[in-house]
Amino acid sequence: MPQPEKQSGNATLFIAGKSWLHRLHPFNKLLYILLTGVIIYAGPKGWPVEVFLITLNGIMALTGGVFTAAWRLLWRSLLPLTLFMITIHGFLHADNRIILFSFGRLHFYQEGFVFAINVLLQLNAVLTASLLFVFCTHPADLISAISQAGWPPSLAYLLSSPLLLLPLMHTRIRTIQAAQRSRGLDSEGNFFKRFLALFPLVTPLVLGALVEMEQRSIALEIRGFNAPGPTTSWRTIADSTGQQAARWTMFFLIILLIIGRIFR
Amino acid sequence: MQIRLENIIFRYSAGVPVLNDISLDIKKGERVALIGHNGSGKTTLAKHLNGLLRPAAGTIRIDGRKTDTESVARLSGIVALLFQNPDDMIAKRRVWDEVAFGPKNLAYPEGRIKILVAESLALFELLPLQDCNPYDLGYSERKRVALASIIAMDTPILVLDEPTAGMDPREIVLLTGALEKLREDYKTVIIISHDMDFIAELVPRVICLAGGKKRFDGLVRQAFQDQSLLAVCGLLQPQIVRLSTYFRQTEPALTPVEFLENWQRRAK
Amino acid sequence: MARPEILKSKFSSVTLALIAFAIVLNMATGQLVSLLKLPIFLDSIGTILVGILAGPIAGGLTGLLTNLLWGLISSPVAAAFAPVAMVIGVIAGLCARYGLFKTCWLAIISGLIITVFNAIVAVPIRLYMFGGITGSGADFITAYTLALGKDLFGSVVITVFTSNLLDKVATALLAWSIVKALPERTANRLSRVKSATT
Repeated sequence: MPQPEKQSGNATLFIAGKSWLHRLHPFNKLLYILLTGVIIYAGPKGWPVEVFLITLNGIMALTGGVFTAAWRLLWRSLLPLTLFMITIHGFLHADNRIILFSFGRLHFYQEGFVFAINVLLQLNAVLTASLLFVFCTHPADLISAISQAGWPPSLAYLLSSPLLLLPLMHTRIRTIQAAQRSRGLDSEGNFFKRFLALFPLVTPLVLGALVEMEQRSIALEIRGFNAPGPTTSWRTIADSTGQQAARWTMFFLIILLIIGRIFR
Repeated sequence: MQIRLENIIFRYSAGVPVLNDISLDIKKGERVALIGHNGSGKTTLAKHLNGLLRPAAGTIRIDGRKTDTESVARLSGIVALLFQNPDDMIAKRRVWDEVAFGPKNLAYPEGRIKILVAESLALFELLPLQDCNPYDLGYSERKRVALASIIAMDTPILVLDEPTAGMDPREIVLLTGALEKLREDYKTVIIISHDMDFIAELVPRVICLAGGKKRFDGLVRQAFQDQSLLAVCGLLQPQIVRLSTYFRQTEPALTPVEFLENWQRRAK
Repeated sequence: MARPEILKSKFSSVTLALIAFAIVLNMATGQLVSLLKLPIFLDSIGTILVGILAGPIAGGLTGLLTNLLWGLISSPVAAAFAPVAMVIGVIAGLCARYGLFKTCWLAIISGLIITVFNAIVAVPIRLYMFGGITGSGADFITAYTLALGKDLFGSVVITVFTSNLLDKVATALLAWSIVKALPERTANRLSRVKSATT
């Protein structure tokens, strides 16, 4: 499983702005990612579709004012992938037959190269669609949209409170590391010793927080989290009939594509 | 062991210095308090003593030896550091194991570990609780476990960050007893605290920090008489000093006993 | 639009707070152990803990939401692996339900079972979305097995299995030791603990 980059603090990728992409209802942007994914993996195959979607996403990013940021993030996350993908498949793909060029006895093949480019294009299309969402949607807006749509408030809580807790957790982690190192914890010994050192680092983090959490859950009870009846919120997310229509259209397109894929 | 800090400067990345040109000397066996309001650099300074933080400039010597190339793991056998919140360090299922954690890391022989743990537990009246799960105990009991586990490391230098926070008066008496024992063993103890009453009674020398600079280094009596210094450092006079000043005692008292002595002297 | 059935079942506030905390734990624990330089990510420690403490549904939800949130705040690629994280939580919950977190050795077996199910879900995603390559260090294993003449599917299975084995076993062991060390007070509130580990 790939490791997402560990960012310290509460750094979300959101970029403040007032463009149409920012004002668009979060569900529309989410459904667009889903639609892109379904087109790519269940819809018509072939590079023209992928290139079209990537270009479309690029234009949208431009009009939303997040093109440079998206470009940079794409480079950062796709460059290592691209290098590994092209070299590994170009040299080692099982279907390799036609040699494109050779370094001595090492041969670089066409089949592997085409396969790698195809995978990269597909990934690019989905990734750019999700970047449109991530860069132009404040997490708080998504959470408000979820509660306004009548989803259970517990879901909004589960999505929002981790974002608030994360910076606190990072601070505590630094303190625990410092505390255990001060007590002579061996973090540079052999593999087995370092493995054993996991326990005194992780245990205080979890136990300390669990004890504290008991109190938090009491606080939640008082705030009436499980109370029946509709909840109200401060932030309101603008919606329109047009946007609703777009949502349903995308929804039906997704269903159609999936049905089409099953009966193909 | 003697501690000597020379012109220590420390900053987080490119910000304003958190420690700005701090120099000080602490003799072997001395008991010193480090005071100042939140963010004055006390804890940051403490973390320099065992290598958790490294100064941007300046040198730290312990017993004449520079410590800037020594690892935290090695320095942990010389300087023990108590962190404010016991829950940041408690990791074992038994109180006894928790207190033995430090000495075991320092690879002391089995027999010595047993003696050190038993002594430290006794200092804080934890012997009857030695088989308990620390997290089944109350907060102040966990604080005592944390203190015992630091003292059990038997290091020549101890730095205690807010040792009295969350403790009741009876437990503070236990802590006072432990400090006496450390003095008898000729250990250097540095106490970081907001508890001015505790400091006035127990610590002869204070070092005040404000904005990362050393503002005062001297006798506790002098510090608590200097109103402008206390204002700069955001500190309040201990209750007994205020009471004694209120009654215009010529030499302000630092302990209830001193106050009564002054009182009787005047009555004569 | 239809709401997933899972979200309709009401969790108690204790469980909700536990899940929220576990999500943060998944996101942050990697940083805690980075100083040990072990080939371990521990990004499912919270998921497995919730699985043991609050059952398979809560565990699955923890994993799913962790990766979706991760996708939201740092790297959209993580969201693609949300189903994998979800399965880890569900399997951990089921292992606990059938008594596989009672002792240290059983916890290791649970870690192995989780590794197998992790591979069952992760391999297709890795294969079809990423062409078997994800731009991480594990790709060297894929390259090596490909060079030995294995096909892509076999190579990816081997890669996913080997790069997760130590992590999942270590995570299961850690989760077991933490649940064992829970104070009685907390353990009583999370009533499942007793049936899962004793």
